[in-house]
Amino acid sequence: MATITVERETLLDLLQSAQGIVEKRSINPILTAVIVASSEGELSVQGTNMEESIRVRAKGGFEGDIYVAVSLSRLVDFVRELSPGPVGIEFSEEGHLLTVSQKKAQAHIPVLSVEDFPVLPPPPDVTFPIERGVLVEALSKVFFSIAVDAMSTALKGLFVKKTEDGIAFVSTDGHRLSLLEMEYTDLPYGEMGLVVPRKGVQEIRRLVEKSKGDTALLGVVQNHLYVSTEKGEIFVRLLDARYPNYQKVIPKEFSTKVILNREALAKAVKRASLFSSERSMGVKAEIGSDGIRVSSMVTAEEVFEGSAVEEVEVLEFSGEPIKIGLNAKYVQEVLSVLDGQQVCMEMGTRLWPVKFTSEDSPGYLHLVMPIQLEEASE
Amino acid sequence: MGTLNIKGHQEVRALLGRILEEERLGHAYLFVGREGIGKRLVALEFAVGILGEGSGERVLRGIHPDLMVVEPEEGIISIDTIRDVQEWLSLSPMEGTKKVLLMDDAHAMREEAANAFLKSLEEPPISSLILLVTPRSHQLPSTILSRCQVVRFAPLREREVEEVLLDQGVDEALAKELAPVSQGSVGQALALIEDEGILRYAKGLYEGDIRVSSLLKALSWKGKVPAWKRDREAALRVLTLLRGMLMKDMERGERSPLLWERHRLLARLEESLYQYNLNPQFILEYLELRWRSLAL
Repeated sequence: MATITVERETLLDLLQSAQGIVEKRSINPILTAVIVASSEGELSVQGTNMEESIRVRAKGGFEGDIYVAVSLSRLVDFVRELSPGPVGIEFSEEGHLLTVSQKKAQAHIPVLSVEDFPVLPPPPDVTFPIERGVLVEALSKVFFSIAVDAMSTALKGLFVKKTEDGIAFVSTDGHRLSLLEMEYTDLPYGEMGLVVPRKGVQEIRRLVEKSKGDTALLGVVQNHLYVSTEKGEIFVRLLDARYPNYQKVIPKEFSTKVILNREALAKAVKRASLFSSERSMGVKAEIGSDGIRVSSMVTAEEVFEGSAVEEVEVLEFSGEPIKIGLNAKYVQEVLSVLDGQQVCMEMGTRLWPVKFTSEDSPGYLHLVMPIQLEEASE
Repeated sequence: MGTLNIKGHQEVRALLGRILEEERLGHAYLFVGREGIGKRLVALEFAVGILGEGSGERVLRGIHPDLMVVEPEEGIISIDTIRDVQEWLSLSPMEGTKKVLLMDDAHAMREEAANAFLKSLEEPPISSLILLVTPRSHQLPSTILSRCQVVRFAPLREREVEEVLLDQGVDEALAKELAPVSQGSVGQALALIEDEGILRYAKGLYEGDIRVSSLLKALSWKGKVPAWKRDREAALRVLTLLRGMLMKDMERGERSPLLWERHRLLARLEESLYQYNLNPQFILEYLELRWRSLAL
């Protein structure tokens, strides 16, 4: 009989970390379970859905060795209803029951066979450190462009690639593309080109954001991306796909370049889009040396339902004046992840992707495909 | 791999073995051959070969993470199942370098399911092997057929059917009786054990000493199945059995016009049942009548 005592908040936090991954229902009941383990003063919880696997831990001088598989939803539901304060966890081998108790409240939860629990990959032999804050930033800058629904398997993932002098994070859904290049010497892999599923990226973000500590460790093992922080580790199974050559869609030259106040542009786009057709969610932008004119994109019939227009001051302008259509949501999303007060937009023809960058977001670029302007609405 | 206990199919298994040895694995294979002859077992054996050493036991228990087995539910493989399959295919293997999808009775895909699945065949995932198994390849769209390498399975030999039956605990006398009329299919032989009445009836009819008052009486214990379905299956089985017996006699060198006449009769009745969906009871009555008159 082994017993440990743990603060409710600590226990709840561990269990909730696994909740995004472990399935509520499954044909295979063991996949609804987590392994609760305590040894050498550390309490850990691990769970998997065969695509993502997580192991989170808390240190705290826990005494007694426990290693059981138990239904996560049962356990977490009960623990959530307990009051702040210590909670007892007790496992009796004979009864095959895990007893969770606080004062006079007690729950007995049947345990499942730990042998049936899927074997997680071992941590990789080689890992490389990356500043935790930098990783959080990087992921937030590329996450939103990962395709939610695409014909191509590869686009449903984030591409993590070794470049000549560092790492590139790439995502695209065919309408826009995010690219973040980071310098990194001594990457321990000769070659690296991983396609990480969207859901997995989300789980990595969750773990890394919730963790404390300065660094995260990354690595690759058995078709999994491994990320480890002080809070725990996560394995994400990679997509079985080759990522398209993203370099080909990034234009090398542009004929128009404009620098604007980022917030002013974001607000103008937001206001103009309020009147835009729901179908396109587009805005028109007429860009010249004297300013940029942002207006609602409406069809000839919708003109009578109203429209909005706004002039935004241009801080710098070079090249040809141009008139293009842009998806308002896409523009707002990129403006919200860029850093600094200014944003630089570069354009070629009306059909070329528009490039967004900021001096304060080094290594980052974002492309948005323009919306074709209908003659009638011009 | 002894645990799979496969009988027969030496040529096909040797071919698959060579494919593995020479590492020239295609993207998709279609295993075609009669029902109940062990195609799926051979497919599982192939899967074990692909997934590598130590995968055998988990493949048999159906818990290997890099093997997905799909089969019809209530007679169909739905588009939802295909979506799950595609989700599964999109990921890299969990353990090794390959994943295997085994779809049994692939012809049970409805049109929309087959169309959706076509995408997986057109752009096969890098690390996955697709194994389709079916006794009725003609029911698969040609677009699917043309994207698979077809592997044909011959029926089992009589001796092989007998061995499998013995292995499965069928008693020796019955195994000896069933093997020759099973048309090389263990599945059919086993079905005949369940329908012993049908076998007795067919034999009686064939040997000309029908004292079976009524076949339908022999079937009366199969109460769970709806009557029309039960009768239809029974009629089909009787026809198949009689045909098997005729074939045996022909193989032995008998060439009497009577055999040919009866053979034609069976073919005609089978067609009426399959194509025109005639009342099975009527067919059996007609069969009994004609069969006897042909003997006269």
